[in-house]
Formats: sequence, structure tokens, C-alpha cells
Amino acid sequence: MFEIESEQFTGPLELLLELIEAESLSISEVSLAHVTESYLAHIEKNEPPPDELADFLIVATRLLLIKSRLLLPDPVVEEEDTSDLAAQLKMYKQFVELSVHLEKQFNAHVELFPREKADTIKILELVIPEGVTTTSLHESFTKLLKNLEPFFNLKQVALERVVSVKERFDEIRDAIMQRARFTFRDIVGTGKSKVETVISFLALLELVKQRVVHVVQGDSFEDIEIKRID
Amino acid sequence: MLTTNIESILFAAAKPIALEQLRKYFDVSAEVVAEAVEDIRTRYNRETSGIHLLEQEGKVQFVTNPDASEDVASFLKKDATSPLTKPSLETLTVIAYRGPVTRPELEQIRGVNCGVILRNLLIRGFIEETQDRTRLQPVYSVSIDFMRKLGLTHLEELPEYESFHTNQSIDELLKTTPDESVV
Repeated sequence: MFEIESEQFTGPLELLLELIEAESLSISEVSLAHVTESYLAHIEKNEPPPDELADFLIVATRLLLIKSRLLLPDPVVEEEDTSDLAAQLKMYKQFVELSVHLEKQFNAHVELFPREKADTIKILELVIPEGVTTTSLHESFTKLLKNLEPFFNLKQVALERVVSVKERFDEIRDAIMQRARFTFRDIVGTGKSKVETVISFLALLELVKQRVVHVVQGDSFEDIEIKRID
Repeated sequence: MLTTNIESILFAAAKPIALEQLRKYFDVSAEVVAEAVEDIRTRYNRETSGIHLLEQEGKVQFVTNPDASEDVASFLKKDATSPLTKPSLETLTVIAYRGPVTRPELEQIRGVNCGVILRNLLIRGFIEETQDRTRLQPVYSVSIDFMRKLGLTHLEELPEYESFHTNQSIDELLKTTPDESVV
């Protein structure tokens, strides 16, 4: 029995062809019967992908039918269908041979190029909508800017906050360099706004993240002790 | 006049044009259109012409001369297509030589379910699916884009095309195809 490398086949016919050609046989019922066992052994060892398994099994049953017909002196099975496999395989082989031409042609990279469509959409005629004047354009642009105002304001606030956090970050870092430890309340002090406290806290978190300081809090709402990491 | 006008339309359109569309537009017979197209092809598809006429499945398009391919590709900075996988190549071969072909016929030749590969080739634009009114099922043929990748202006330029496209023994074998597809 001939061993075929465990490569993935594009289908059962390719496997059959490979098995027959490996033994330098021509395609016939006899050669098909001859490779039946190798075929079965191969699909048992390298199970085909699930969506092709059925196709491999159909060919397996047809092979077994051929083999049994050759072994049994008085075949009881119907004539048709059994001889088909050999003919089908021969046809398949012809197309495999033809595919060499196609591959060569494709890999030669002799591409034919069509005329390309223009990238831009051609405007045939300039059409100005009704009621458009310089005043109306100015008005709508003013309106657009007004609509965008909240968006610009938002940005401004966000920007300020970023600057503040950065400033506070530097402050706390300078402070911790001088004193090895202090508490969060020392930074915030008393009577400062909520935003200030939040900014200080964000700055502190950033310091923790950068491993400049180490913080300990005994319990919820207790003061946070800040220590320098040396 | 007709030939000249068809030639101008093909140049200006910059996309594949169906012969049937031209026939309807000019209100002439299919033979007259075929004759005009043949005239254009004879004048263009020669070594000294930078433009060739490509025909596939009843559609025509002006394309570049195959010999100019390398320069056109590098001048326009076009990338080469990646190589075909074995199943793609096998399927495209059957469709190119036997097209328009039905899915059961294709599966009869390849001996394996072709649903996935057909879908992939359709997505890549290598093949086209059309409804065959007499066979009452979809048929597949290679697309003009694939022909361009092969550098062919007509499938007849493929080696042994005629003998495989109209092959009696293959026809016989395909007749035994069950009506429903494999699996």
C-alpha cells in the first residue's frame, strides 16, 4: 500500500488521482479497486473538513461497490453508476491538466486595463438654489456658529481642567519631594470648591499611577495618607 | 456609421457594454451588432494597436494591449493580484472552459461541494452568476475582470478551448448529473 503525505486535498477526486498516479496506474475500475484501501486509510487518518466529509464518504462507498463487484463472481448490484467513477475521474484529470494553462496565464501578470472612470463627479451645470443671497449666506453662517457655541464652551472647560490637573500634579509632586509624607486633607485644605478637590484627587491618582507616591486610607471617608516612594 | 458610433460609445463608456443593449438602442438585429463588433475587433486587436477589444459573455470593453501590460501597470502603479489557491484555480478552470456552467455540473466534475468556493469567487468578482431560463437555475461564467487578469480578450485564446468547451464525452458525463446538487 502506498503512503500519501498528510496534505489537504481539494476534494476526494484529487486524493484518488494522487493515489492512482503514485502507483503509476491508469484510471480504470481495477486500479480504483486497488487503491480503495489506501483511500479509506487516508481519510481515516486525515479527516476531511466537515463540509467536505460527505463528498469523501460518497466516493468511499462507490469505491467499495466497485471493489465488491470485482470480487464477487456474480454481481447483484445494478450496472450503472459503478463505472461512472472511473470516467468521472478521467474527466477531473483533464480539467486539472487544463488548470495548468490557466495558472500560467494568471501568474504571467499580463493584465489588460480598462479605461478608468473619473474620480470626481462631474457637475454639468452650476445650479444655485432659490433665495440664496449674500445676506442669507451670512445669516446661516452666523446661525451655524451659534449652534456650535455649546460645543466650543465644553472644549474650553475640558482644556482648563487638563491644565489644572497638570498644575496640581506638579504641586503635589514638589510637596512630596520636600516632605516624605502628608495627608490628602493637607493638600485640599478647608473651604475649597468641589471642583478643586476633584482636580487634586485626579492629580493624586496620576501620581499613584506613575508610582511616585503610595497612598493608604484606613476606612471610607477617612483622610488619605500619602507617602513618597523612594 | 453604426460601427463608428458603437466604437465611440465603447470608448466613452469606460465599462463593459452588453451587445444586447447596443442592439436595442440602435434597433438592429443581433447579427448587425455582431458584425460591427467584429469589424472593431479586427481593426483593434493587433500588435500595433494600444487598445484591444475584450469580449466575454455578450459584453464588450476596450482594454489595453496585453504586450503593454507591464508598463501600464507600473506607470499607473497597479498592484498585481495574489496567486490563486488550488481550489480556486480548479473551479475557475472548469468555469472558464465550460461556462456558463451550473453548480451541479461543476460539482460533478470536481466531485466536491462547491457552495463556499463559488461564493468566494463571486465576492472577488472573478465569476458572474446569471439565471438560465431554460435550465431554470443559476449558471456561472468568468467575469470580464477575471479575463483582464488573465490577459485574454477572448476565452478562445485559452489552449484547447474549443475541444473542451464543446466536448461530447464531457457533455455525456454531465448529463448523468443528478438534478439536485451534491449534498
